Amino acid sequence: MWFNSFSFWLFLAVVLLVYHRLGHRLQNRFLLLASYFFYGCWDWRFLFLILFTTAFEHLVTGRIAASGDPRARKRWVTASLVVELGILGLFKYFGFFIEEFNRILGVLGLEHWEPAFQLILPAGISFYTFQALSYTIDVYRGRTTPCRHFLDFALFISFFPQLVAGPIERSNHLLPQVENPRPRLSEARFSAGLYLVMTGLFLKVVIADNMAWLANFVFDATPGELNGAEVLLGIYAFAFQIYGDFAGYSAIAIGVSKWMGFDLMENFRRPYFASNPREFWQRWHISLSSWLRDYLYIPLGGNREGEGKTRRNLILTMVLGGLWHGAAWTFVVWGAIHGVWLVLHRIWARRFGDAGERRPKRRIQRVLAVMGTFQLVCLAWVFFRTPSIEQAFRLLAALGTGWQLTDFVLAGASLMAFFLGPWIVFELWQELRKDSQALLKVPWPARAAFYLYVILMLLFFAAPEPVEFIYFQF
Amino acid sequence: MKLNNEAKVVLVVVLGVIFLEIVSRMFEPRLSADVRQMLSQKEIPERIGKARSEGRESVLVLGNSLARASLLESGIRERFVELGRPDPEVLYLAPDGSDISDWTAAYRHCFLGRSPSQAPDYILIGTGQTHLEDNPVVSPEKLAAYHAGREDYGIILWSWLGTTGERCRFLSASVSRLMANRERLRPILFYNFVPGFEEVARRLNEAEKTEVVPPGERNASAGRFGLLLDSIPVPPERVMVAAIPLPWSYRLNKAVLETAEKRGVRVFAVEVLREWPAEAFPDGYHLSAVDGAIYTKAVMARLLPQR
Repeated sequence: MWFNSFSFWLFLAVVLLVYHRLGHRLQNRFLLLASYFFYGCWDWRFLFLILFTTAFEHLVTGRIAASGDPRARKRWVTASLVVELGILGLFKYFGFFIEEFNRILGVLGLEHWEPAFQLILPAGISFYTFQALSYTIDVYRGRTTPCRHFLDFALFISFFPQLVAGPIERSNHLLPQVENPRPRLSEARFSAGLYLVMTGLFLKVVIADNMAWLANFVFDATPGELNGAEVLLGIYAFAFQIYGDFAGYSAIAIGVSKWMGFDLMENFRRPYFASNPREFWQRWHISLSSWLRDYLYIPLGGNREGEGKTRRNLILTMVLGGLWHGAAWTFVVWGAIHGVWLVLHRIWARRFGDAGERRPKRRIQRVLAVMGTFQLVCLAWVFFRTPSIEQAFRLLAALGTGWQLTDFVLAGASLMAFFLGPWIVFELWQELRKDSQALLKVPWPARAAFYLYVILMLLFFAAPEPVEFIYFQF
Repeated sequence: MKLNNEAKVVLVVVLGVIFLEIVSRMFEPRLSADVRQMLSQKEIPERIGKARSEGRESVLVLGNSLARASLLESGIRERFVELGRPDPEVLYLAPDGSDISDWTAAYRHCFLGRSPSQAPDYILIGTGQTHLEDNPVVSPEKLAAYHAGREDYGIILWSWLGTTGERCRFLSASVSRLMANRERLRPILFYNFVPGFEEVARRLNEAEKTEVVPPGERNASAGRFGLLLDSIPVPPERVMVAAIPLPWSYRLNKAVLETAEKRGVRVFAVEVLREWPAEAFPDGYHLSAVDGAIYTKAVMARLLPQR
């Protein structure tokens, strides 16, 4: 049941109709039921996995809160980390480790080992595991009081709008909203939700799926068959495909939640307008980057133990962040590129004064920095998208071969201008106003015109084949 | 009653969509020849009735663009003239990209509940390799807007359409022409105004093209084809399935052949005719006019043998 499917909107209509007729406690029970139904539509067998994670973390946090012995508390939080990361590792990385193990066996001239079973990756496992872990760690650190009601906690873990692809919520943000009565649907809430749902659908259905058409062609082709301009076009198309896909999902999740009285955290803030890598990670997948900062980078020592260790921590955090996306070396390289880039940026910022970053840049400097940052982000996307590192290098090498304006380049560039042009102008306008919700503050006829444009684009220019959300596989 | 701003936004958007719906209905016949052809389907029974009142016979061709290119009106008429019979009324119910789901629904919508005098005298069903099999519906929108009658909504919604999404598309297109024709604007705009788009679409489609399943390995059912044959009041010897030549050789699905045989309907199978050279398919899929005429002649000789 994808957000861009009719089934989801029918399901949501029923959920909203019932939800707003119930009191708070019943709303929670009903949302839990709806969330399990939503997840069960993918594969009901994995409901047991979510249920296990929920029950186990509820038990662990109860023990942590009840124990006054620091060693016992530490044992419980360690158990939680081992079990949750163990499950994640088993489902997500088992195949990867077997493959690497067989590679070593092959080098040694030994026979390959075929495991007796294959594991399917449960949808959204990385998201809800990280959300559950952050809760347990926060309880351990004393930043969150443990949730007393099991069913409320189960809803916190499985809340359907953000269950399979985030945003990864923090317990001290989402849990109080679960436990306490939520605001009723006001005009402001409806308006904010509508805006997010409309822009989210536009990003996914119009931008991401149409860009996928171009990007898939380039990334699935033999690099020798493409010239440099075609490869570059494919890389740009993928950059906007993944942005539209993931930011679109997040926007719909946040918008739909608003209609139910929940406020989820912002996950994307015009990331391609970032002027350096640090800023990029403050704008891209904010819930993951802040999770990695709080639960990995800072515990590793952050920037408190000297410059050398800070750089190590940055690279390590980004490499592990890359690995979070999938079990492949390409994700490791993608993370490493971002880690090294963050380190280089840090060196640059320190060399030319940290204040340099905060000093208002001249507009031309800012434009050049944004464009440069975008190129480097795109370079890293090549490794993210290709099935192997060799393929990524072959594509990058193809960038240097021939720059003729082929039919593909002309048509692809025209299609990108058609689909992306208005959206980039819209984001630029938001960026200049420094306000992601700027559209809600303009006179209503302008908003109506914008929505009409979005609806017509959704109606007439949805991609011929809908594409599954990329981040579901993570 | 005073509306708040967001209600005004929603109201304007809804009114805008209604306005576009009206416009699309006004200009619908101008959208394409295919739409005009589909809109004219409802006139078929009247035209048959008129021909009968003039003492002329009628031939209805069911199919898609393959049938239009391979079962030519001139060739059909010619056979009647050869046999010394009056010039027949030849009618096509053959929209682009359609298959058995559309043909069955359209036939039933046109003829069920009509007077027997408005039923065709002969029916030719032109099919490619898989068009008579129970495949997923190609376009639920087209099926709803142009082919299906209300009496078949039940079977279409619960048996033919496989997902909630398809059912929603079907139902929304049954009330909205905007929805029904939503996929037409994109190619019109892109093919005419995006430089190089035709070449790109060809390359992209080629990359995505699925392999043709070898004959004998298909296992589809033919329930919709059976429903079509059961809905035809014409004696079975006046109905014929014509397997249209394609650039590759093929056999029709076993279930299709059995369904036809069970009802006494003859199948003109392509492999009995001859091998068709690549030059016979100038666009790589449809027969040329010359080869279409040859094929029509062969089919008509079987449908109307010399007594």
